[in-house]
Amino acid sequence: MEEITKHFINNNRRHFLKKMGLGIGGLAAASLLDPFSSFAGNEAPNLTGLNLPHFAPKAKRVIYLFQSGGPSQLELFDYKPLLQKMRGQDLPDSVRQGQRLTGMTSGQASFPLVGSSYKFDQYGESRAWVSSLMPYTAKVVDELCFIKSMHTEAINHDPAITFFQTGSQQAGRPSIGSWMSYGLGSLNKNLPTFTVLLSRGTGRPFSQPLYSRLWGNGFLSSLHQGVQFRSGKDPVLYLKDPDGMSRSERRNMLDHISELNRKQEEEFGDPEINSRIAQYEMAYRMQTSVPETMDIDKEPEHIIQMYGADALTPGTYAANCLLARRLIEKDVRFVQLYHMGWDQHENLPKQIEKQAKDIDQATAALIMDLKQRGLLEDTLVVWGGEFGRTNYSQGLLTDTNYGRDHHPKCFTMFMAGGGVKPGFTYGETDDFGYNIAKDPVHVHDLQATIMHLMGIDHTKFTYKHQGRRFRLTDVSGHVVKDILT
Amino acid sequence: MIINNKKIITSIVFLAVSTSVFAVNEEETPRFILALGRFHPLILHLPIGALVFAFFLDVLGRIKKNYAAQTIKYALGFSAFSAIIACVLGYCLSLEGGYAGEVLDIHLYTGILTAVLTTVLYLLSEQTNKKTKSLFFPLFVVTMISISVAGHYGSILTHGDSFLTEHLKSPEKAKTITSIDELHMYDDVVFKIFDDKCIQCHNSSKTKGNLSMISTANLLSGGDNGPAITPGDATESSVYKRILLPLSDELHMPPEGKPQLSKDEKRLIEFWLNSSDSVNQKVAILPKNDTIAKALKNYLVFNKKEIAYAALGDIKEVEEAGFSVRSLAPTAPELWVKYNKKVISKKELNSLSNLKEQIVELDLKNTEVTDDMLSVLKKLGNLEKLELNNTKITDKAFKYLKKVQSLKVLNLVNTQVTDVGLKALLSEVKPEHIYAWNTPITTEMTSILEKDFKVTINNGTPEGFVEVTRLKTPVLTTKKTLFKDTLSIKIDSKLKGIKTYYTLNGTEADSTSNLYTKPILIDTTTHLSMKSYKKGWLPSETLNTSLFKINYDVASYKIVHQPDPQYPEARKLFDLELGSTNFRDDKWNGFLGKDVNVTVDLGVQEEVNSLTVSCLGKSTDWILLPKEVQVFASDNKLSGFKEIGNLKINEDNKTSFAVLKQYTVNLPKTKAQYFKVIVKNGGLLPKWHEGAGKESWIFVDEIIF
Repeated sequence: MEEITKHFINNNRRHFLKKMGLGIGGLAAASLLDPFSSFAGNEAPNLTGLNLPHFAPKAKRVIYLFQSGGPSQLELFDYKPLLQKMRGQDLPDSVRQGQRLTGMTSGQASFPLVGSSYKFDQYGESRAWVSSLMPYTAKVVDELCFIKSMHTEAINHDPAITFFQTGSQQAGRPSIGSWMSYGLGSLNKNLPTFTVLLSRGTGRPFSQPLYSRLWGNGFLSSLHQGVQFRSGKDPVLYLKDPDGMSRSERRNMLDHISELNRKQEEEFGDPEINSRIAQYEMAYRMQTSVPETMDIDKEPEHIIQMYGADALTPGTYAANCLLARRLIEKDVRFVQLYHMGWDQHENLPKQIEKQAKDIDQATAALIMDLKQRGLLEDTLVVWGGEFGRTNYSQGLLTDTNYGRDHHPKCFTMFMAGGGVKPGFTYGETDDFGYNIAKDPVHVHDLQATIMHLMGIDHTKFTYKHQGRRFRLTDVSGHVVKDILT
Repeated sequence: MIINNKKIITSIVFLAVSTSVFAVNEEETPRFILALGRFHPLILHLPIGALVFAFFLDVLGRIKKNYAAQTIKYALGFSAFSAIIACVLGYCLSLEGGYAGEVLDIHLYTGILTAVLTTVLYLLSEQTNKKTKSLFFPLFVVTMISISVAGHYGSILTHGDSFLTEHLKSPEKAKTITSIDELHMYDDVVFKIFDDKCIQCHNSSKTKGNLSMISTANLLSGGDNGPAITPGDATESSVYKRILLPLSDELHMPPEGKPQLSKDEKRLIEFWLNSSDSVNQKVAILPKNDTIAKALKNYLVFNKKEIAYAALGDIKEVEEAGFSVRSLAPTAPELWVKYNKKVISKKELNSLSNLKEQIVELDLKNTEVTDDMLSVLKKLGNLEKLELNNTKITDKAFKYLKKVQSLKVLNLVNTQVTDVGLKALLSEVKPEHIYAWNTPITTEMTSILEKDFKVTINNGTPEGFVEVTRLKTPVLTTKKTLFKDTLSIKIDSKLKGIKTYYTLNGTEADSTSNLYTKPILIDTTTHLSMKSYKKGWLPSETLNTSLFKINYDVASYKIVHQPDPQYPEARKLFDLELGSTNFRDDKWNGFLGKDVNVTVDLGVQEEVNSLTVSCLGKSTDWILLPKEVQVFASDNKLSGFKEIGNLKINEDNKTSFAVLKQYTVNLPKTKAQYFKVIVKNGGLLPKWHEGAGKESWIFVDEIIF
């Protein structure tokens, strides 16, 4: 009803005729009206309009440490001694059960099993298994909640990452951060609600690129798209005033533009005009808030030491972790990091060592730093990739070298903070590390759980677009209640 | 009359059969009798319906003066007939066991009474005698009462005695629990589960399988199949075993079609049975923060307070004072309040008393709040989380905090509170988490307080988390390794107090080498070695790099095959910039299936003694290293080229990662203006390659003389 009323308010008869005059395109535009645009003003959408959150949240902010490429669970967290024992033997068909493989190994004559080259040990009070690649993570296992039984539907990078980010393998839906921005709104009007930080891994520096649609707003208002903070001189592109322009001149200009835009909005009722006005204002405020946030020079030396020396090199994962903490301190709702280069099809032992070194200390440091500031209380940290890796070698298995192909049927992720059980492991894989033996967690389950922690019932949080209601978890997903505190 | 007599006889036979069944004992009950018993719930509704219908017609007929005697007679006949069958089947059902006591007796006798009365009514309805007819209506009323009683007790047998009145009575208020220590596992937890799902059939009046579950004593004494529980071992307890059986199993409990136990309920029962003293187990032994403890909370109601929604005017007033006010959820009255500015005074803080009931989270971090402003805290009766980090507060602030009994999380990071103050505070309030990093509070006191007051206190990341970290290898600001005239070497380090030492003579740098203080200017080909040191850090890895001075200018060049349009601009071969292992980095020229054949004009005659070609190999991306580099020289632009050098290359290209190779062809000292360089393509992809037989790529980023 609401949309229809809004539609009529925005489209009186004169309007209609005018649009007819402008051509059929005008008609099409009318049907694309934002159903919630009545809430879109100069500020972020009014929260009470959506009636969110549905219940008191455990986590108010999220840091999602996306490990792009598919980190090998078998070298990091999922200890499988059987694979070491059966090294070189063929993967039994009874285990594979006809699982589809990527084009990269489907032609392989044999699937020689291979265990981790790296030693595993149990750590902390929770006795969690961690390999020697992650010494710092091993120190903080009692803060972590491992899910060893993640599984996904996609077997290639782009669909798999898109699935994790938007709940659909096909591009075009809003990213999880955009959903949060839309549903929960901003906690700091000077910074974007959804920020994105990218880093390249040293293990495989020239791996697949990422596309900005992964943090896109899809059919939601463009106010909710992720804003990428870059490592260079201009963290946010085109934010600076041109040389010779003073801040008051800029203010003046923005006032006039928004006056013009508002007139246009009154006439056409296109909600994107409102988004545009809000974005200009946000950019203006970000001119001061962003440089302040990105300035990590003021961090004391013992904090740098905690995150590792890399933290001072802009664009590294460690620097991004430190930035993530600074953004969270400023109440940014959703900080999404992507660390690329986890795609170890070949030379896995050599590459993964570097990848792990990139992220191990900084990830652990981030969790401990949030904790000592009391921020972990209501901040959720999520670590994981888009899928796992096979228990058999891709390419030639030698004494020291092997590779692993994509594996969607099981992989490990971990979370920390905001309402998840610390020092806890959920789910199990079989002895081959190929299938899930206990408590599977689907991507939609994880999304449902993250939303639950943020106070959202994922089945009720929908957006109507092109005649149907969409949600992040599509038509499935169950909250994994067993991992909640 | 004859017909009537026949009817009487049939009725008597029915009654006789029904009584004769009484004589049968359960032990000898044939299975078909038991099977018949299950039809009782089906048949019993027929006599009730027919009887009520007949009564309705009777009353209606009397009022309307149009008595449907025939219909009433048939209805009564049907009712009597089915009532007798229902009685017989009901008796069969009772033989099954599990129904005992007074309730069954009342149901049995009123049931039979109803059957008899209905039969009598039917017989009376045939009578024309006025005297007997006057008996008809009063007897009908009695029959109706009888069938009501029988029906009611029947329903008690199947649905339990509170079934009828459950929704009539006002719901019992959940008991408010003040202390979890007082609770009893069976009485307060397990009984609630059983009461919901089991006790309907296993109580003192209906004891299916002769088992009652209303007390632990009953459970221990058990039923037909022995004790229902084995304290200390869930897997040995038949109650738990039956719950776990698959739903399709005949022995599964609760029976198929009845409400089943939830996952949490099963867990709680398992936990209860596994404790050695199941009978007297207290709830208190549950570990905190555990799945079971969480499941438990759903069965118990703790200290729930009813908080009124805040008035909009009050919220507005607080917002005007400089706070942002958010509700934790729009459907809940609890508020989360944060101060937005730095400057704060008592006046602003006092505005919070408008929302004293609703505020559960208060964020005053990074403000200029001082101890004496905080008196308003005393009033915030439901405050659970208080953030005072990065403020100037001291122990004096605690005198107001002492009143906040609801406090759960207290953030004191970067304040001046001390051991003494915190200890005094903890003896008054019982928060769960305290953050006390960067305060005068000592780690010794932290562990004492954690033990004494059951609170977790975070006093910073534990020592030993940070191992001594290695410094970053020095990074040159310039990425060039080739230069004309001079090159200024600059390093950039954000870490203060770092000392970088360097050598330029090919020896390895260490802490005795030259200290870097300002950019180094070099004017010849140099081998640079650099290493950083800093107290408290491990020294960096050594940076070793060669910086080549180039002494010529490429005035112009001519290339036979242009590079592939994806990696264009042959000019890049002479731009003094080397590419990385990423062939898409815009520094490389790529050629598919072609040789690099380029003629260079150095402008003037130059003496050249070697030539280096820098190439990339990455067989997984179909890039092979060259087979041969040939160098020709001439003084004429177009002709007269003589081969002056040649390097045969034999790489197996099997490495799967990218390799950077520089091939240097040593030349006899040659003075010439024009040089022709041919870098031979690796040829067709070899047999072992996935693209065997197809053309390969060759990638060259620089040709250096």
